[in-house]
Amino acid sequence: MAEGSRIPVRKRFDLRHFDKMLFFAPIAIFLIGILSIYSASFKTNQTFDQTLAMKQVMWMGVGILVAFLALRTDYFKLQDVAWPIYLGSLVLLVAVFFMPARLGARRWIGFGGFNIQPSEIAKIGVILVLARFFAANRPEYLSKRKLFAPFAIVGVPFLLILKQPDLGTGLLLLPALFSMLYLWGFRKKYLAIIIGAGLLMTPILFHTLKDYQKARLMVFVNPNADPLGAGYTINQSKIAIGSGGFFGKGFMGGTQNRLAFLPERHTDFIFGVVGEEGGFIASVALIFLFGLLVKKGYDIAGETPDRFGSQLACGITTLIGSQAVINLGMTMGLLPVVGVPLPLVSYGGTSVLVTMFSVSILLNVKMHRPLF
Amino acid sequence: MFHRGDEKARRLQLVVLTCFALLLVNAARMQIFEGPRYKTLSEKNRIRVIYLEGPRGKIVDRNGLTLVTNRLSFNCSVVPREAASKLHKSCRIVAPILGVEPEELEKRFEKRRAGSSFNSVVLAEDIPQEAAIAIEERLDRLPGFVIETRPQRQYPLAEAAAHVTGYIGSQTREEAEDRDLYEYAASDWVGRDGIEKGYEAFLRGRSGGLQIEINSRGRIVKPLGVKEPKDGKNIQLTVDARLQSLVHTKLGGAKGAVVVMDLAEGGILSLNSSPSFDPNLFATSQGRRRVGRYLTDPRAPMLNRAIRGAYPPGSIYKIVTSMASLKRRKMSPSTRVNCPGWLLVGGRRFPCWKKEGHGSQDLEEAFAHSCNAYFYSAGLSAGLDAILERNAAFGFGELSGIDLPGERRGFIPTREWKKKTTGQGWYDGETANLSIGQGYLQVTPIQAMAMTAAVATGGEKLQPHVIEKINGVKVSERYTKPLDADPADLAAVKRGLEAVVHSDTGTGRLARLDGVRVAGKSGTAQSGQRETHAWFVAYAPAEKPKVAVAVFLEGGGRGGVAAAPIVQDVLEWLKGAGYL
Repeated sequence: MAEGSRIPVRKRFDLRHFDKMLFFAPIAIFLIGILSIYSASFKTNQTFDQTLAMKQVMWMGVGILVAFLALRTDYFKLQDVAWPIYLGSLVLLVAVFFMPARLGARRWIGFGGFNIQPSEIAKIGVILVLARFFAANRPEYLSKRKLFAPFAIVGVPFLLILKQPDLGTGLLLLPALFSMLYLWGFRKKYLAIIIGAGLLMTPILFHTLKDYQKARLMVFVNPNADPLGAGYTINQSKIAIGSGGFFGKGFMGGTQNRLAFLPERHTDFIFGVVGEEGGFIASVALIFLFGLLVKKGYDIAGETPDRFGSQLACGITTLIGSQAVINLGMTMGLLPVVGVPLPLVSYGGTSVLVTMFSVSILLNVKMHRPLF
Repeated sequence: MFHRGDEKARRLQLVVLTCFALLLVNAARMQIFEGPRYKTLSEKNRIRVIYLEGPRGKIVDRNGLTLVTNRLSFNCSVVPREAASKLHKSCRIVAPILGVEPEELEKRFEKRRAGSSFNSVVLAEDIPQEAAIAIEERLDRLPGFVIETRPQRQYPLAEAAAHVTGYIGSQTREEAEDRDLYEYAASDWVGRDGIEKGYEAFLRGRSGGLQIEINSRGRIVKPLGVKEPKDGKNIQLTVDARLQSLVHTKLGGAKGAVVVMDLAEGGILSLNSSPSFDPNLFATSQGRRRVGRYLTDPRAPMLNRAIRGAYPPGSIYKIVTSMASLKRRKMSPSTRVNCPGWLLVGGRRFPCWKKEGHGSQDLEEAFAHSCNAYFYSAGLSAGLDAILERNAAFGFGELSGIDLPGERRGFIPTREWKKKTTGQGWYDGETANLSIGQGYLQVTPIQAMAMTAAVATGGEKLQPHVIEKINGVKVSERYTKPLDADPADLAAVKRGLEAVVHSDTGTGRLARLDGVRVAGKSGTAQSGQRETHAWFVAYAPAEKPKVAVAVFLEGGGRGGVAAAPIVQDVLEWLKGAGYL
């Protein structure tokens, strides 16, 4: 047994240590999302319970329920389910290849009227296993052979997700991995070499991309090169956000949104709806809430003496934070379009469920972490 | 703190929070500083402006018969921004309806899109109503497609009145830029000739527009605003459409021109130039492809011979010559001149058209027989200056002032002109030639008609006009200039002109009309070609003239033979229609 990681000091369900801010920030983000999904997907003569927003609310209900159930148990127990969750998600990732393709990709598994997205589960699985590995091993004493283990843990689901294809979700595993490696104490020199090598590899990787992915990347360089083709989405998204102005066009008042100029507006490009209808005020609110979530998350990672909890908090926070940064950057035209949903805002049940579960882990770590 | 990870976590936190801060700055840039620009872009996205062409004014004849009107036509157009990449698919749906190849439509789109800065690109102009309805029904599947309605100019009389009505055409780029100030849209059509051009300012409609909100599929969500197009003003002409058509038929495509004027006010009853063109062809895109032949036709159908064609007048000019010699008191109406068939001028025999000669004649007889020898003498006795003075008084060498664009002055030779071009002085022989309307002199048919009218009215030079009313308000008025002629001289000439038609030996006997006395003058002018130009000018009734006519046939032969019958036809119709 590795040093210190399994010494339970406090195990009571203690609401004194329940971080209300950390709990309500995601709820607030989710509410912004619900309004946006409702506005983005509303069709006339639709009652609320028929809308996608209602479906999303149901997923959130399940998410909050799962979060509270998870809070009752000590996060140390997660060490035992880390591998099962990870391996289970790998099985599901393989299973998607036998599912019918939707929009040219196999990302979902139909499940009694609902669709689950295994890549979302895989993300939390990877972080759990990595946290367990980093808690159990110290970089100083690790054999060279075992040093490849973290990369293998990430590599397998990464390649499976890339194969779907879902470049965005796959890439999200990388910042989480690097942040955890950094926190672990991995030599900065090696870290720099790996990232540098990765960057050098990009031209080669570029050739392995699908045509539409290449087009998206090219469009990032110049969106006006093909304003009606691949550049259309990013141009429309920028117009939506920019035209919101300071106060926004009001709920259900966004013309880019309501007149369907903005594609994928209830999923990846939902920030276009937020920005157009809520204006700069909504943008500030949303970015501030994400910032708050991220700040709290790293605070927990820094303050938790237990390595497993610390790594877990770090991985989860980086995952949510980088996902938000990439999504917002992409909708504002600052980053290439890679198809990453905005956590808790974009429509997508699995994502909401997994994100709420992740947040509950953060809360759990804060509540249950050992105090010396 | 005591934990090793603390500092590292804080650094990670700093990195991610910095990213958020940058995103916040960017949001501020986009939404606050560039907000107005993006707002404009989003407005452009959702608002489609449908151009509504204000119909041009209608043109009717003096009895209200339609000369030019508009009918509703349909264009199949595409808004490029909305059509996006679906154009290819859409063209496949539309092409069979329009009966063309889909590739052809795409080609048109690419071609016209380049040159057009407007909102929509016209794919097919003036499509049948059934096709328009069929496309309208499928608009759901045709993003960016629109059926635009526009007034299509129509000329029911086609060739018959073309030289009066003129035609319309789209503007050239330079014109469009010049006209910018005057609220013209670049796509507006403008009058190109005739009344369409001359009264463009009144006829043109003011274009309007319709702003509609559309969704990303180009489906109309709701109208936002409308600027009603304004109709152009309607114009009534003095022309009688029935006479205009009759004359057109009588001319039968032969090169020539006919001008008929009402002497009460100077309103033109008919103004024909032949051959003519079909203005309808200029008004549609299909037709415009076929107008090229008008431009290459050696018979020059686009040339309005009535006001732009300049020809030697021949013997009709003897009216001017006689007025000059009478005014100079060199000859009196009763002065007799012997015609042996020629006159010796500067040692050269100038022939009369009748080789055996007319014998001794006074003015009246000389007119009746159109004796060249008599008028050589009259002209020579009056002298070049006197002739040119009367020439100017009758309006030759000047615009008649008719309200049709592009009128020409003809050509009047002078001593100075002769000196300048040939370096030689003026010879008596040239004066002799001028006296019978030959040589360098060139006049337009409308000038010939105006001269006749000035004699008919007894010394009042009427300015001809074709416009009667604009939007029901009478704008024409009788406008005259004095001829400055002795009434006795005029009366003598008028007797001569009556004799032309009513004398048993007159050259214009073919212009006679039962029950109406006609006065006129034939003319047969050397044209330089084998065939002579045939002229006949006339007015009727001789005692109290009501109309003046000029008939000109280019290379038509002899005036008294070829032109006089047309005058008769015109007068006969006028009599039947109650004009005389």
